[in-house]
Order: sequence, then structure tokens, then C-alpha cells
Amino acid sequence: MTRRRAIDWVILIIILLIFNLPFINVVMTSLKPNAVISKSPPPILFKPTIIHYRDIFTSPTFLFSKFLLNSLIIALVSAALTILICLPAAYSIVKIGVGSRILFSFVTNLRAIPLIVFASSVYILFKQLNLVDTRTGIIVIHILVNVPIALSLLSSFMQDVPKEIEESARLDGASELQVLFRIVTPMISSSVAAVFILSFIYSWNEFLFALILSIKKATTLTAGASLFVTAWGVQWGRIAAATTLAVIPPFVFAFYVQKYLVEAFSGGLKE
Amino acid sequence: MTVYLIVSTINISLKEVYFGFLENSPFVGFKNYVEVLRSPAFWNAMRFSLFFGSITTVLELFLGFLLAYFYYSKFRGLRLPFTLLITPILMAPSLFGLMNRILLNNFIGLIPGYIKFFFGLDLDLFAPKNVFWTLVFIDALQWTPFTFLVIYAALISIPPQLIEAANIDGAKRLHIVNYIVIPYVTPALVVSGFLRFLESFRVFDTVYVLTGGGPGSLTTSISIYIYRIGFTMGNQGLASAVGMTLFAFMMIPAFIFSKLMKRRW
Repeated sequence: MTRRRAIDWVILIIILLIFNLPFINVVMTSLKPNAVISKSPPPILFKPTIIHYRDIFTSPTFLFSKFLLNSLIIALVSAALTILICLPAAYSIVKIGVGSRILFSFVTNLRAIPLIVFASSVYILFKQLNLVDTRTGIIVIHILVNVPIALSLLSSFMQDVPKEIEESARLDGASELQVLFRIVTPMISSSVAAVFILSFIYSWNEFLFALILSIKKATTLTAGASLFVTAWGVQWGRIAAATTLAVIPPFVFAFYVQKYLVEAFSGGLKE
Repeated sequence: MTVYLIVSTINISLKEVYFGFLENSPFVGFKNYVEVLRSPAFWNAMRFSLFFGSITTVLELFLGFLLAYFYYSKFRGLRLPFTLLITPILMAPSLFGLMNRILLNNFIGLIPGYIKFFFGLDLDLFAPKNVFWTLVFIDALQWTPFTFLVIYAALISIPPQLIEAANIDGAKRLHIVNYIVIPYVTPALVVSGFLRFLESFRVFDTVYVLTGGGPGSLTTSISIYIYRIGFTMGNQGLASAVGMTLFAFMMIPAFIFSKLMKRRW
């Protein structure tokens, strides 16, 4: 019995290694001196160096810090605004019943359409509005992309808030806005935080619009990392260091939202 | 906003627009659409996307189910391995692609390096004959955890009494899987399969950073095709026409999808 258990663990660890191999490998590459990187087969044991991490922050041709700042601002602001837009929207759909059917299915349908379809018209519109290569432009488009999922998640969380509580608040003379922000929102605050984090991760990871709507000033880390390849094709160590740092923020948050990931998906599947 | 985008995309698709200059662009009617439907490159890209989308979806559902069932029967409730298992879905697909570019690179990659070391085989994973399957592998590596997550969530919603009762009645393992597990996870399989198909049909990020659609146009998905026309070549009228054609095609799965999702209300 215990031997079978051991075999199960070995299988599990191998599976974990396979799925995390790209990440483990990129971290290892980022810590190798250039001479070690070009060795074949790549050595598993080596003397680590942080020279690539120092380089990406100090090298004047490598715009890492700027891209990092762009990513942080864009992801934080667009996630915050997504929540601010979706809270009242979800409230009016679920609790007051405004346009629930048509509006809701219309908004969720958006998820099924490839956004590349609209790439040209977004680009042309933003060009007319002078929003190309600005953070504002990318924030606006990320909000647009985030709203459908945030709205459907918040609506389903809000449905679980018992009606009696709101009704008693209303009897006590609270306005709809007060009910929303004083009663309902605090009750689902941890869910709201989860939606915020999911929006943050989405915006951080978004590639297509960050690529087409930026030239150099507003480039995010996710879009910028691919620029490093074309421009500095052979500097694998720096690319690896930049990639490692770029995937870490979603990881940090993910630990917190994990239980919501399951909840969000299972909630969507329950009858 | 969406309505605006659809209308403006249609408007642009009926004109000859280059490099984002909409003013004074001539109206050309359905010329762009005729060009799209006649272009072999368009149909090639559609074929690639359909093929890629179907194969990855089936593969990821299959592996995701196996993995979920394995984890469910042996490690249910264990937190840390679960977190480590779903990390790939939290990474940006473009960054995940970059990582695989390093992992699978001919010269510095871990995998080709050790294949050469142990088997003496010089394997170029990005050669024309391999590149499609390399992309399938990468997609499966990143998104099997997603199907795993959804299917696992469905598995843990099975009331344990149900399986206990079946055990007491002397049901075989295969029967339990067939008559209890499969019916319980079917909705999860359908929804996650559908989401996966929609996503990998329009694959862009990974392909863009790994192959750029090449070599030649071998890995040009429909999204890469639209990007190339609209932004590399700057012909946004034509790109919008391709987009609207794709939009028309996607209405069918979108309709089914909205019917599926409505069940939650």
C-alpha cells in the first residue's frame, strides 16, 4: 500500500515537472553566465550569477524598467476601473433587473468573438483620438476586454447575497447606491478582490492590443519582452531574466485567487 | 461600444484604407470581400486554425480528464501540488511562448540538447515538418491545466455518498466512471472544450513570438493572417474584410456558446 502511494507521488512529481519545465528552465537560463548558456547539452549544475538581472535594469538600450512601470500602471488602473464600472452594472442587472437578458447575453457573447476582428478599427479609432502609444489607450481597451468576464462573475456572486438584507436596508431609508456600496459590496468584498486580481492578471498578460497600440512609449512588459528577442536575438540571458520577472506578478496574486478560480468555474457550471 | 466597433469595422472593410488613414479613403464596395474569399492564403489560414483548434481541444480535454481523475482519486484536497499544476494558465501566453522558445531552441534549448546528448539525434523542433506539432505541444502544456481545473471542479462536486453507495453495491471501478463520473463531468467537458476551441482557434500570442506565422505561411493562423495584412502590410480595409468574414463564421459557435452559458441563469 505504501509502495503504491510512493509510485503515485513519483507520477505526480513528474507531471508537475513537465508542466513547470518551461518556467524552471527560464529561471535557470537567467542565472547562467553567457558562456554556460551556449554549452550543449545545457548543464543542470552551474555557478549562478545575477549579472543578467543587473543588466536589464541598468543597460540604457534595454527599456525594461519603463516597460515594467507601464505594465504596473496599466494593469492596476484598468482593473480598478473595471470594478468601478461592473459593480453598479452587476447590481442593476441582478438586483433591479435592468436589461438582464439581452444586455447580459450580448456582453458575454463578446467572449466568443476573436478580438483581432476589431484590431484595425480600434487602431484607426485610437489614431483619430490620438490614443495610440499612450497608456490611456491601452487602459481603455483592457477595460473593454475585461468587462464581460468581470460582469458575469460579479453578477453570480451578487446573486448569493440574500434579498432580505437589502430590503431591510431599503426600509431603513437607504438609497440604491447606499445599498450597493454600504451593504452588498462589503458582503462580497473578497469576491470583488478576486475579480480585481483576475482583471489585473488579464491586463498584465494581454498581448495583442498592447502590441498594436504601442510603439515605444506605452509598451507593456508582456508585449515588450518579444521586442527583446527581435532586437537582441542572441542575448538569451537577458531575455530569460526579463521573462522571469514578467511572469512573477501574476504568480504572487494567484496564490490568493486560487480558490476563486475553482469557484468561478464551478459556479458557472452548476445548474 | 461593441456595436460601434462592428459598424466601424464594416465601414472600413468597404473602403481602401492604408496605415490607419481613414479620411479620404475611397469606397470600393465588396471588392475586399471578393479578394478575401478568392485568396488561397485566407483559406489556408482558416484550415490551420480549424485543424490546430480541433487537435489541441481534443488533446487537452483528454489529458485534462486523465489528470483530473488521477488527482481526484489520489490527492484530493491537497493544496500545494494543485497550485503548482495550474501555474501555466496564469502566465501570459506570449511569455509562455518565449519560455518555450528558450526551452526548445536548437542551440541552447534543454530538450534538443539532451535528445542530442542521449540519442545522438539532431532534432530541429521548428523545422517545417515539426513546427505544427511543436505548437500543439506548447498549447497543450499551457492549457491542459485549464481543462484539468474545470473538470476537477466538477469531480469534487460529486456527492461522495453516491460513490460509496455504488461501492457497497459492488460496482466495478469502470462502472463507477461510466455511470457516475462521466455524467457528472460532461457539462464541464463541454464548456471547457468549447472555451478551449474558441481560444486556440484564434491563437495569436504564442505563434507570434515563436514562429511569427512561418516558416513561410506554414503556421499562419487566422489571427496572424489578419495581423499581417492589417499591420505588417498596413492594408486595413482588407484586414477588416477578413475580420468580418471570420466574424460571420464565428457567429455559429458564438450562438451555441451563448445557449450553453445561459443555463447558469
